[in-house]
Amino acid sequence: MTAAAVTPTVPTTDAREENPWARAWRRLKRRKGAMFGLVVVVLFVLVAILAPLISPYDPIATSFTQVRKPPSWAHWLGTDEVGRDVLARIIWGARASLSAGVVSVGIALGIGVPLGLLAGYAGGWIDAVLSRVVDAMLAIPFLILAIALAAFLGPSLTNAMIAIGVTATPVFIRLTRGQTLAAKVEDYVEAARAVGNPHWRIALRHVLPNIVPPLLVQASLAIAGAIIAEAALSFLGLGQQPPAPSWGSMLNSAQRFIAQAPWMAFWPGFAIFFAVLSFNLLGDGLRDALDPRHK
Amino acid sequence: MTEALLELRGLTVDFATDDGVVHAVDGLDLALGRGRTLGLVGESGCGKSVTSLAIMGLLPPENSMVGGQVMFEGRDLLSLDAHLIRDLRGARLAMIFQEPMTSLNPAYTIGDQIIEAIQRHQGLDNAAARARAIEVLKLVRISVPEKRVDDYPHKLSGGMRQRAMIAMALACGPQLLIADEPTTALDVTIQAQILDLMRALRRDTGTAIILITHDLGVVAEMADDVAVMYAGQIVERAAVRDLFARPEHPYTVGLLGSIPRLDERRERLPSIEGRVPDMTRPPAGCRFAARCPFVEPECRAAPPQLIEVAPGHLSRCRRAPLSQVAA
Repeated sequence: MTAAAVTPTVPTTDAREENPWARAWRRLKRRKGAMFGLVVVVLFVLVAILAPLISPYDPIATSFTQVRKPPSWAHWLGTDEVGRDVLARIIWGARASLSAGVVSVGIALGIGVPLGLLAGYAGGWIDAVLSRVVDAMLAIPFLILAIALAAFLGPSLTNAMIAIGVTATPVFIRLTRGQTLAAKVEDYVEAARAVGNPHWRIALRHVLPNIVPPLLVQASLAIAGAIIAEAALSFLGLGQQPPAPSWGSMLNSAQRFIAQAPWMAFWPGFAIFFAVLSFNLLGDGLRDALDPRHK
Repeated sequence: MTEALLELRGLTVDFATDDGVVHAVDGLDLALGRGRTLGLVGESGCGKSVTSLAIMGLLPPENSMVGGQVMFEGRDLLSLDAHLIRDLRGARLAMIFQEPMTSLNPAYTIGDQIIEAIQRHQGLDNAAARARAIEVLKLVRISVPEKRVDDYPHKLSGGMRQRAMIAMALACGPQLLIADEPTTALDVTIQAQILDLMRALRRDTGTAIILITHDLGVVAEMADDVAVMYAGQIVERAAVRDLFARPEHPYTVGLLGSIPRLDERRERLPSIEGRVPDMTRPPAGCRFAARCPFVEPECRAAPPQLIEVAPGHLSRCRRAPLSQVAA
């Protein structure tokens, strides 16, 4: 004890190398679809962050001489009904869409995971009550509930995020609960109890880390769903408010000019499609990479 | 035997199931002195693992009922507050499990898990706890412990993981170690190494051990005393030498007959016919009667008591001592 306490050896890097995350990353790298999704997601994120630097025009500056111009060298993706540059609005709209995806899923994770962990770990009446609430919420179609909540909260991007986040929460409660039920009967949880750990520590340190992979997969797929939901709410006027750009509200204004100015509808639709596809590909890839049954 | 470290008094464990209440453990009396090793033997489903979980307080409270007393160092564990039991668990009494492959958390290095146990009970700082973790890994003869401490469980073999589990259990110097079939999941050469290790650790640390197994060979090598369990009850209890020399319960006789021996050529190993009785409705008389070669009508009438057939040698058979029974 005395001698050993003086010289704890520094962990070498190669000993840490093969942790579970490093292994998952190695396996993710082998999947083309997932890597494509990851690259596109990163590109979108960079575009959203760097919007002020790379946007060719002010996204809300109107120009009555440049109304509904088709794509040209001056306006690569054309202009809209009040002469705003479509590319600039797509770039700035990425902020609304991505932040809606990330924030609302963040809300859903923040509420859903603790509640699911509680329900699964504690069981009993807590589980019964939470599960019935979840069942009730899941009985209502996702978009209908989101629209109702957003309409109730009032139209704004923030409220749309909250509405989408709350609507996505029951899925995470159910997933976390199910995974917790499976994990809490594992031998290593029993072993953790046998060394005298209190319940909160077992739940947070021994159960939670082992259920992160399916949550991560679900989160990346949910971001895709949330982006679509945000576009739908904005399309209905319940999300991003004009004149601030978002892909959904761009589609809304484009529908009146679909024959005269199809580029107004094509580009935001294409951006939504691409963002959603990428998050889905990434989620599928993560599922395969994190699944211990795939070697 | 001086003051007992652990004493079970009339321990009962009942499980509520859809088919009714299962009496998994039914009135167990047992005492274990400091530094002694007790082998708890029986076939699957006889209640030996349930007994160990009851001692540790690890049975799920939702569907299990534990009765009687578990006296450990003079205190009844069954009447202690949950947080007091947690303070003892891992510190004064520890347990190692049957499945080393799944008993370590895959999300953490083995060092993390040993350190967690140490810090839970001893309040050492990170560096000191890490040093202690390396020390116990060395104690269980894991080579290059200062490197293995940062390994994830999946990199270790079954034998190595069981060593890590033992290290985790011993990290806080427990007085009692419950080993639930510690070698069953390991192959034979590794079994021998783990048993050697446990013997050495018992000698060096003076930890009392309850060794749960269905392998009488392991018991013969490791234990001072043996308790044979059948259908939730102790059917025979004796010093290990007496039990092997003169088994006084037909079930023990059957168990001993099922051990392969090198010095005898037999076409087939004898086995005990039949199965453990349905424990939702245990038989009125002797629970072994249905499978017993020495059974008489009286055996089925009333449950036999545990009687002392020789000094320190108890048997729950009304025909014991069996030496008088012409077999």
